[in-house]
Amino acid sequence: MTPVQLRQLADLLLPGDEAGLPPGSRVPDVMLALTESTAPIIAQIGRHPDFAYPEKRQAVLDDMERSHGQEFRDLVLSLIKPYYEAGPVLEAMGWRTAPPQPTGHELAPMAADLTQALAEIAARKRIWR
Amino acid sequence: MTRKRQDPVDVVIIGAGCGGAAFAWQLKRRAPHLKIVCLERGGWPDPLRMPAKTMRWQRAIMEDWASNPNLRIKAGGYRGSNDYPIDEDGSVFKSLMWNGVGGSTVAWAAHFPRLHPSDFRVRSLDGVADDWPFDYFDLEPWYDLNDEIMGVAGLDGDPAYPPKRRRAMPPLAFGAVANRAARAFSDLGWHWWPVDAAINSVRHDGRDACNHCGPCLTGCISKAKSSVDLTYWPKSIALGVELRTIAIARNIEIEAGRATGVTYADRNDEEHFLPAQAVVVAGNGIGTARLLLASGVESPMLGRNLMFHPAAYIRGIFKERLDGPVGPVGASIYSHQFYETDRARGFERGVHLQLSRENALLVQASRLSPLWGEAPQAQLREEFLHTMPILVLAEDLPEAHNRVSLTNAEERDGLPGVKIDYRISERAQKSLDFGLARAEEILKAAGASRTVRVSPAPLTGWHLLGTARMGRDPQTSVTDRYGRCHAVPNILIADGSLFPTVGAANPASTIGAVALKLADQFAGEIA
Repeated sequence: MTPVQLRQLADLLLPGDEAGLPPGSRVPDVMLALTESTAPIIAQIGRHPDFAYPEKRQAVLDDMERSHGQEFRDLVLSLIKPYYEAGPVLEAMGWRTAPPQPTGHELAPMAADLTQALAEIAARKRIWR
Repeated sequence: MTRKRQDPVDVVIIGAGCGGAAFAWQLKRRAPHLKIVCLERGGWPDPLRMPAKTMRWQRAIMEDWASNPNLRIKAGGYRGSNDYPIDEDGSVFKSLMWNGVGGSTVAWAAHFPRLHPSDFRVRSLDGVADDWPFDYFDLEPWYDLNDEIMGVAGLDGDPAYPPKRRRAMPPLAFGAVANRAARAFSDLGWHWWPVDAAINSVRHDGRDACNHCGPCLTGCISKAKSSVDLTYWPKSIALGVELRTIAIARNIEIEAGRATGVTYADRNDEEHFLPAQAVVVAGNGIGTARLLLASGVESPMLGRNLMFHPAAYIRGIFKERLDGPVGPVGASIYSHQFYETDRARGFERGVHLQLSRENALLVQASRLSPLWGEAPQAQLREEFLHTMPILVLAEDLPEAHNRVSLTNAEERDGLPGVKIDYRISERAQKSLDFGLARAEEILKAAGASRTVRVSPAPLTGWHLLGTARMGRDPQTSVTDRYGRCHAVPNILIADGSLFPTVGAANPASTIGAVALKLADQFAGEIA
């Protein structure tokens, strides 16, 4: 597959959106994963005569997904992983780029109005047998 | 292969997880003169290798820190869990476990409920399955002791249980999700309560409070989450129990109906024979059955009656932003409104409803269908940070066709291969459907704009139970009420395999309590 085709493939699988989610070809680790992949299905997609036509590329991938289910799924997963780990993607989704530790996250305490609700539940008769 | 004969010991415990750890500590406390060795196939969990400080923490959930051992094996590498493959093709649910010091408490959610008193008497009360050979109140002192050692955050006064001792810590933080869900339960007039969690809500027992980082199932770097490598094992080792890691028990040697010791392989694959007066097996509902079957223990029910707790999820999608993948994943609020039998529902026994937390972004992206193109990305846009999941656990009842068995293969650990066969019963499916319908009512009452059902949820097979059940009759049970195998009385079992029935609530609290009780009884016998 040529570099241009690889970018086309990345953008079909992970198109991004107008609200800031980048297309797959703009995420370096996605392109690295595609470039370094030895999955035969990538070459098969590139060789498909219809992949040269923008309006037919989606159908090529639909066909590949039907005919090579697990291989195709593995390919998509191998790109989804670096994509949703990428800082710009996390930020575009409203999430932070730092890992969970060491800072952790703030979490709201039990709301004050629920104290009364709990008292009412506690006042009920037992529900165990 | 030549075996090296070692100096004899009094007791060999196989497995350093929840049951084995509690048993070792209590037995050594009660009988300090005993020489006790625990063989653990894995190593110690290493917080430095846990992924929560790295940017690959999401990927780790699906690969090298996955809860399913087959996925970890596929990912390669070794993180402390010395896994063996499990043939799960015949099972709706995939087995989840951790095979190292701490057992599955290393990778658990630390939701720590007890069973209800009725769970021990299902035959007497509801005419199904079998009663346990002891009841809740017999077990209560050991529940209390286990709570004390593990450290429980929670709140007194829950009407779903008999009064319990004051919880050591206040409940964990709720977050926007639990606050919203709790109001919905109350609006419907249904029971809800903060969960009992084996997680520090404040600094406790020398360990920090939880900082709500999120990925509890890939190990707890901060050590706020209790796991028995942090609670029982340091205490047991200080008392003089010897814990040998990377020590794979391959065979319990049996002569004339008595166990004489254990053959195990060390980290160099050299075999040793460790003679012992008694052998205690605590390898979970799959590992225990595998070893006992491989050792030739003959018992008609061994490996049968595998129970999981059939599980399903329903996710509510909200317009408002909620918490996202933060906070202890399984430990906020729960409801036992529908836990006890109501025959009008058309099935016996009940369901456990538990508020959960949102999946990590990558994990959720990998589970969508379709997986690629505009549609899943648009769906993630709508759902991420806007999701409230509710987990439904149904009560499993014992069925002999649900089982653990050996394959003809020999695995790399020198033991026969193992497979599980499990299908959801019609009764359990009815309970799951009932629970999902109730959960959907909650989500609607909480303001969800739509809901998504995941039923069944295959990657929920944490609770591996029932494959060496207690009972009186050797034809219908594997051990007696003291955990002693009918076929080989100096082999004891001290894990969830013993459960004759399982209730609908998470089992770790009961596994620990039962192990403590059995160790107490055993100490009186062997002393």
